[in-house]
Amino acid sequence: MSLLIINGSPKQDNSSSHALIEDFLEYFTAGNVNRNGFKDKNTAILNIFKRSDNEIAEYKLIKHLTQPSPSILFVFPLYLDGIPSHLLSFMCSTAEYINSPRPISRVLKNRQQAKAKIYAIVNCGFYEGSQSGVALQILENWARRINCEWGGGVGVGACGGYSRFKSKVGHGVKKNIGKSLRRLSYNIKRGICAQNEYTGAAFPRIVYKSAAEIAFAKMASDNNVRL
Amino acid sequence: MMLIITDIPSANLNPSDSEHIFIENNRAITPCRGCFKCWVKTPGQCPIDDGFGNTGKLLSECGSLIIVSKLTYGSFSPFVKNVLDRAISYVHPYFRIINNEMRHRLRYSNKLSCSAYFYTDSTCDSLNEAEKNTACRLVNANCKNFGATVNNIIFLDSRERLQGLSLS
Repeated sequence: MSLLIINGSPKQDNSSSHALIEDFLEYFTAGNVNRNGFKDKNTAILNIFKRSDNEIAEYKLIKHLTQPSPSILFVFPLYLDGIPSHLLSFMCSTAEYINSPRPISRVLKNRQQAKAKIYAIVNCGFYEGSQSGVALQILENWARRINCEWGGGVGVGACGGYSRFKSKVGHGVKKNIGKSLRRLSYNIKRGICAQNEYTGAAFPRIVYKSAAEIAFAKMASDNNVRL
Repeated sequence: MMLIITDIPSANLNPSDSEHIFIENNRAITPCRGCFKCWVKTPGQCPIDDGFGNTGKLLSECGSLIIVSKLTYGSFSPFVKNVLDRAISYVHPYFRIINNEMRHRLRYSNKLSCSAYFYTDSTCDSLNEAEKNTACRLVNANCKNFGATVNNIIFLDSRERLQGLSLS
């Protein structure tokens, strides 16, 4: 089993998506792998925030799909209840390539081996991780269009400023998020398809709302703007 | 006034309101960078200088929003989604709770009604049913965020069906 992680954040660094990938890998590459476990060299991360890198990223994704039992994990921020347009564009061009009359397309369509499995983690700026449901459904529809299986996704709420949360994953405010990432990691390693699940940072909504609004007010104040 | 965001040429469309503005795919558009400057540095205006940064302001001057898009896995097409991503300056960064869900506060006082016209091809019908359901969910969710009412969600089996259709 090999895993390709696609970082769908538009930011080059300090993104919530990148922080979630690091937290996911805490479980995925943890020391307690079982006998069917996973080796680091079978995982790769692709960033698609630069449009100029997209052609190479497309090639790597399609090449990955020809591996035995491949899995792909998309990690991206929720944009207006859906998928960010740069990631959507990448998905469209990849699907167009896969479904075109090319030798690679025939290879993928005629695979006798297990279909590739697509998983996702969506980080949502709103408190409720369930608001990621539509975005996960869009990705599921894309997976079916390219003859892959939908493995399931995790919608993580209250992710504004996630990269600045001080807790280790699975502890403190990241306790519930850790449980979901652990389950996702388990499913990916064993090629299990599961229902989507929704989680979020473990503090009350009023606290998150207040903290986020204070952060926005501070950013605006630094720019001499009044909100 | 009517704002029409479309991924097909405006010459092929027939808005019912004589006062309308088109945003169409006639030049390069830059994706949203997630910088929040449209909220905290230039409120109401995206700072990316490609001619697509004022959608939020345009929405505030309109009474209806029309979206014309290819049905793309249940989403809008990348161009249309790009325009909408860059329009989050239409709402305020602060939050409100509506029906036990967190949403952004509204920045402007105008009330929008929204119609979405999705065109598709007729292949893989069973897949398209799932995608149509997703698209309906997406439009409803977007309207909740924009404080807009859903007027129409229409699915057409080819883009040619849009010609002559009165958009409202």
